[in-house]
Amino acid sequence: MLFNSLNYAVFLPIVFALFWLSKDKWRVWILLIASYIFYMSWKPAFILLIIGLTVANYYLAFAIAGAPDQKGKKKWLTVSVVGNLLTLAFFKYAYFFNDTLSAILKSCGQPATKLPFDIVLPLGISFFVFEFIHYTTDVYRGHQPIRSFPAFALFASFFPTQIAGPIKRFQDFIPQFLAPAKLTVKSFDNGISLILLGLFKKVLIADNLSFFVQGGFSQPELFSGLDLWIFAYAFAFQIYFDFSGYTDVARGSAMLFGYKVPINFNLPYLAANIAEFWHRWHISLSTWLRDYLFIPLGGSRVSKLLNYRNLILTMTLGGLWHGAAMHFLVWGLYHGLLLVGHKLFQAGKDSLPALKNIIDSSMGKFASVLLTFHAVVIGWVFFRAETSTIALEMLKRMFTLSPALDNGEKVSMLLTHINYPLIYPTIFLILPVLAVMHYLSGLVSGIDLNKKVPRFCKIGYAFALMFLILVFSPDKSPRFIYFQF
Amino acid sequence: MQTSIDKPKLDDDMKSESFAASFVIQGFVCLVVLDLLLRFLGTAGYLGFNPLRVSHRSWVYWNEREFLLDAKASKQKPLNTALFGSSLMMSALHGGDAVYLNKPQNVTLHHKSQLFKDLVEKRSGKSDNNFAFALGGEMVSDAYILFKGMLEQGQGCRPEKLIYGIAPRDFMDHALPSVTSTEIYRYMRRVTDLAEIEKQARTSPTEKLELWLSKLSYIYQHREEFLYLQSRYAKFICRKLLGAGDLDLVHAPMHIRKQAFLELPEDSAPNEVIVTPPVGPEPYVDNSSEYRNRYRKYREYQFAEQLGYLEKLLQLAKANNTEVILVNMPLTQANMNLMPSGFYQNYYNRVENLARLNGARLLDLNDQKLFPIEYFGDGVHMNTRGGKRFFEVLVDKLFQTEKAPRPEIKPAT
Repeated sequence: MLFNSLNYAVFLPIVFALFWLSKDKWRVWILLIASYIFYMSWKPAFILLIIGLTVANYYLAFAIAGAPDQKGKKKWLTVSVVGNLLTLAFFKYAYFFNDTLSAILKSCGQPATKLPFDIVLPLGISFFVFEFIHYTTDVYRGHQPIRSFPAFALFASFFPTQIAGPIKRFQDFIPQFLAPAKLTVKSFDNGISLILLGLFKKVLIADNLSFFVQGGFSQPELFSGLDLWIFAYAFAFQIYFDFSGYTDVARGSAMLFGYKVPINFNLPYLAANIAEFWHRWHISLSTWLRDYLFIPLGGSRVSKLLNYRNLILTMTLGGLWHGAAMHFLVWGLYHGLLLVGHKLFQAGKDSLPALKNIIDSSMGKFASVLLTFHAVVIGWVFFRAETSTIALEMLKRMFTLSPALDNGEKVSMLLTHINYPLIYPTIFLILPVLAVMHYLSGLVSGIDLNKKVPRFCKIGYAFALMFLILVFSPDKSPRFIYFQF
Repeated sequence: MQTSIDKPKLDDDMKSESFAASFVIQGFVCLVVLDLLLRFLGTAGYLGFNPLRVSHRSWVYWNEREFLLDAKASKQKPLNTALFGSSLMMSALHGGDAVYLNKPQNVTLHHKSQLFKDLVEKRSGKSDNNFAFALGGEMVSDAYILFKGMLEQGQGCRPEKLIYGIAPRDFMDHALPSVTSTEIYRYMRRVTDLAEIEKQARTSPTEKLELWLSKLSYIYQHREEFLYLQSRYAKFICRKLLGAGDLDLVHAPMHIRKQAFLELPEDSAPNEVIVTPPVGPEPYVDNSSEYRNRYRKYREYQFAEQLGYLEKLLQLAKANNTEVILVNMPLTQANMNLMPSGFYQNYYNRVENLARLNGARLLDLNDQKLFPIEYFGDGVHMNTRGGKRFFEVLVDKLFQTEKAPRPEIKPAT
């Protein structure tokens, strides 16, 4: 069931009504059953997977907490982490490992291997497996395990965040389940507004950009270097509006039940350096990677070289988490290298006061934002391209500003010659508008709009979003990008 | 024991906070008010919705456009023949005229068969006026809707004869989930009253929900009008602000065009598909994988449903004094071999029976002696020479069977 479907538009109000009309003690059960129904709406059989992992991790946490010594705790934690990762690896990386092995065997003149069965990737597995690992690891670190099974099961399967996060922390979430829920006008308004905003971002912005982006990334060799820059910018906005739109709907839906889900985005393209970008982009994943990968590897409290290694390893594995393909791995590695480069630059900058002054000036900050944005855009080329070879070829064309051919004639931009579909000619207006909107959002981000904005504006805002979604939602909408992870 | 915590919180909150103060609810009320206002204005006739104002120009739009404009300009002399069918009839129509006139035919704008007209006029000695509603993917349900739409335009638009080229795919297409999933259905909803079939045509809960929503909300029901405005203003901005030139013709690389065809609503410009007279031998393209998918799974429900629409069409024609001639379209043996075992005979028997029961003629042109493989461009579509041959054979058969005694009506077995 997609958030941007009519089915969800019926499902959510039914669950909302049942939740608030029932007694407190039944509410967790209602949400749990609703979450399982939500999950089964795709492939019912996979419910066994999520229930199986839930039961296993529930008891493993007690085994960890109840183990008499550190060795025993570690043993049970290893069982949990390895079990969760093997499950993830089986569903997500079996083909990748098999293809890699086949390539190696082929290069040695041996026949390629073939998996004896087909594997379908269960939706949301990367997210709930990470939540289970976080849970058992934190229990190992001394937190108390969750006593209430339904609360724990709901933590892992809560339908608003089930498929693509944000990745929750049980310390924030379980107390909310256990406390009596309270519906206020404010949380209702904020929840619905977030859902509407998320749908607007997804169906009106990301889906339209998706069509445009697909055109460029499917046959990049047809386009000029300048064209490919436009496609890369468009993808940067598409993925942002797609994923942040999903997160808005998830957070808004949770708010309707009185729960707060962590934010995942904070105007990422206004980051002035790559480290800041990762504090603003997919926050729940980057903090997870920090707490459960980077820090256990030694974090930054090690030698410089080890610190750099940890950064690169963390980001590379983070890239691979997105998908079992070389281009995701390269994307992660690229960000790891950027973070290392940033660290080195920071160290150099501190020793050169003149450079520091330039960078800290308003022009310097603006240039830093622009530079960071472009560094991220280059990364998105690896992320979106079908293979890393295609990505490299695209980047080569982008940096050499290669021309394209239009009816045999060399042109610096083919896009200006394309008039269909309308997204092609209008992209030259849409992208600057999105960039300006992003910038303006940064200017007002510190202001409490709830208090400052006149009431009629809020009513108009809700009305306009409802009208636009009602009228302009396409009959067919692509899935959210992060559903595949 | 019940504690205060056990009480539903909504009740508690409602006491202290009024949800009428919610700006979301107030925004929703504004939307309902606007919807009611538009409904009132629409019902009172202040909002002139025009089915020719569209955001995307599908083939059925181009057909209806010419048909309605003809009817309006009274150019439509009494319509003698309507030619119906899917892409099988469509390829014969365009290819036939391309060869006969030795002139390229623009698929978007070419809706009358000159070849058929001349052949009939030559045989009958009377003037003949035809119009083709032959559209790619046309299911039997679409043919019924198109015919109904024609009749609703008034007496001058009623054809004397309806020649309907049918093939097994029109009754069984795995690629089409339901009657409502075709572009013809979606477009014709705006032209003709489909209330009588809307409920039964929608089978999935989502489709039923969509119907319910469109009945409930006037804005949702008339989304196409807003989409038209959106595309109109977007084009205006492109022209004025961005200096875009002609936006009515398509200029796009083929892979983007193909992608749009798969992902966006059908939109055809008048510079896109031109059928040219043949130069030398015509190529044969193997499209068996496409048809393997279309015939993949026989669904008796879909077949019976489409057969039901054929019966409706025949009855509607009878009631309006239009003679129906069903033409079993030529196919290649390679395509027939892809059908599930026994399907073709079942299809033919049931159609034949239905035609007999409703006084329609059935001409079987699926004869490989009449149409050997050299007349085909792929497994099902005739090439341009095949198109010409098709109309020659069709007119021959029409005049032969016209003289023959009508078959007796027998009860269904």
